[in-house]
Amino acid sequence: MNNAKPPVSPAAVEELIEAATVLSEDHGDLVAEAVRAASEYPLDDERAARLYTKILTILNEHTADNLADDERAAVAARIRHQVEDIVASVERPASEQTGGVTFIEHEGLTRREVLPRQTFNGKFVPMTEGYVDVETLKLWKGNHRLTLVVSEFEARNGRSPSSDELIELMQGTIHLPSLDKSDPFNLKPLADSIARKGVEVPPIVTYDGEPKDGNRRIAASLLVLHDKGYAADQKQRARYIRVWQAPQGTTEDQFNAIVVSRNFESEYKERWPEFIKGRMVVEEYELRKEQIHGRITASVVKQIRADVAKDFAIKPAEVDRYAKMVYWADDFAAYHKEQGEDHSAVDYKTEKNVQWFYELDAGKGNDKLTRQLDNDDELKAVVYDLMFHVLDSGAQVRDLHRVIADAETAGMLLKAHETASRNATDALDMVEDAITEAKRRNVRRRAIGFEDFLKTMVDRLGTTPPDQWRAIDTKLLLEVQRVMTSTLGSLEGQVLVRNAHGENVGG
Amino acid sequence: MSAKPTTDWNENLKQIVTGRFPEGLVRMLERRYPGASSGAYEDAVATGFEKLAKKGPIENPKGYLTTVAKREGLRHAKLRADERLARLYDNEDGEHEDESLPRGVEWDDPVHDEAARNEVIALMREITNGWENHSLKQTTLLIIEALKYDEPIENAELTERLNEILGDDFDSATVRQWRKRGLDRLRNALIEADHLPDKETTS
Repeated sequence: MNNAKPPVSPAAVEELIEAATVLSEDHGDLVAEAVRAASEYPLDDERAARLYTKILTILNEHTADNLADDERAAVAARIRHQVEDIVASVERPASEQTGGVTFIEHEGLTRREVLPRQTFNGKFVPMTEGYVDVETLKLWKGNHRLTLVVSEFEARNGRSPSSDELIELMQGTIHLPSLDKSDPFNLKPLADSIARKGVEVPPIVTYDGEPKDGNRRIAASLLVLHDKGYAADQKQRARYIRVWQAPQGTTEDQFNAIVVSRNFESEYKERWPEFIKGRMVVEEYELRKEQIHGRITASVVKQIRADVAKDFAIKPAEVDRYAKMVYWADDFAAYHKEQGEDHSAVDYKTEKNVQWFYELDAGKGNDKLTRQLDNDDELKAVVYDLMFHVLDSGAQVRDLHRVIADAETAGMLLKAHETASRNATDALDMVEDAITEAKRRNVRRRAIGFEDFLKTMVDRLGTTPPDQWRAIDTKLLLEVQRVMTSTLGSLEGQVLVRNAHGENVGG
Repeated sequence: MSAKPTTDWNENLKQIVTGRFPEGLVRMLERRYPGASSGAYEDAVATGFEKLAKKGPIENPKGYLTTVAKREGLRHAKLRADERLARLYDNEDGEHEDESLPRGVEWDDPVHDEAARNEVIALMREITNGWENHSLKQTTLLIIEALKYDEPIENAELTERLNEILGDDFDSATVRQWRKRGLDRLRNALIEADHLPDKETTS
């Protein structure tokens, strides 16, 4: 069995064989049907305007590239004009909307009354709910979140932003000087969440379809729809969102109550502790690995990690981080329970300082403390004891690998361990001293490393035959020449300084 | 290439737009693949223009737009159907029980994953490359190439490219037959290799 290749599912084969058929067929009958339908069943004004704006924008995209703002505005105005012409070219049917909202049947839900009836900030507002296509919603220009942005846009352009421009402002594709970030409303994380699970809290819209609450959710859903980085199923999830529509005649007072209620009242939601999340992720990760029959290759593990990450809405690297964290946390707890410590105290300490077990993995290669703990039970006992009785921050744990790497500072750590049973405060001071000393030595070690490198370089370049340079890539050759020239400058400067200080540097 | 570059290509496309062909396509999709939102139909039509703008002049732009729209319409319809089916087969915990699902039912678009898609296309190529009939083989390989890029390949273009490859002058009716026979043969080969259920025996 070759686990490296993704499995070929019958559904995927069926889908592609059908696609091949569709792509290679001539559809003359459908073309004729479309021509007929265009004349017999035109779209309503709003849909036609939306469709032709979309298409003409695509067709003008290449001309809009590299244009200044005013030129882009001119292209946009021309598109608007063309759209108006096309829309006005035939008589069109009335819109089939409920107020300003076009509800569609989705997920088995048709338009219905929201039950139980909703009270916002003490005011009762009867609502209707249903799914809509998010592209049919327009953002609310009066949204408090957007007030400054809209004012700035008006000041610069002498007009209000259009609905599309409002969305672009939120998504950061139209830049304003005061909005210096590419994602000024931090939509990307929300868009990722919507791509995974859809919009969970329904935006609240007026009878005419203006969203009084949920403008960010709407803009983030549109980001998923328009961004090429999201898959078809994710776009599908973002397109259909459930909204609550306020009845005709809802007063400003009632809308204010809605906005206040949704934006000011805390949900008192407590985030799950890292330790619980880590355990859940790792249990799932291990379970899925156990379920694999046959050889577990690196690519299978990678896929499992990616799947678990997707399910828990985290990045694959975080699965690894949790796995390491939970492993060392369990090892730590087991050690102290064996040592006769109170089990609850151990569990409490482990959970409270769970981040420390990630810090244990600091360092590179064999310098990692975790590598050394794996091979040295005595060292493990020292570190675990200090972590339990003495240390008070994750930063101290992070620096322990430097302390262990040097014999003298490692000795200081051992003394701290001996002192811990008598006086934990003194022991902590000793650990801090060991860390400071280890950092100082590390700087010196880096200088020593440079000397070693130079010795190797002298040796290597001194014994390089001239014809060996022939095989070197020209670009690299020029890079070496550039670095050598600047290095020679530094060397000459250093020699001059030393001469000036009376040192006999020869030459 | 069947494309005959014209200086007024943009004009040609704008005429298609001003002639309101796009809304006819929307209506055609609504009738044939009901249940999607208006935005989904509009996107399906806009996707054709997006691809066409990138591709450049071709002989039959309306045919091309219709093919892309149909492909997108089908894709959306399947996604909706699969989601509905998957919901029907949810167990009490809201979890998915594979064994309770009919074959082929998936949560997501089964080929949205690039790797899975490439794997199937490689498999199709491998099977087709083993055929001895040169004309059927080349016809089917061209279709698979179009599939790889999700690009329509109409009979006229297929004929022109085949004549270039085979160094002959086959007419479009012959190529149409090869197209059908090639795809039938590929489907049968996939069934024989157990990559597709045999509808005759399973229904």
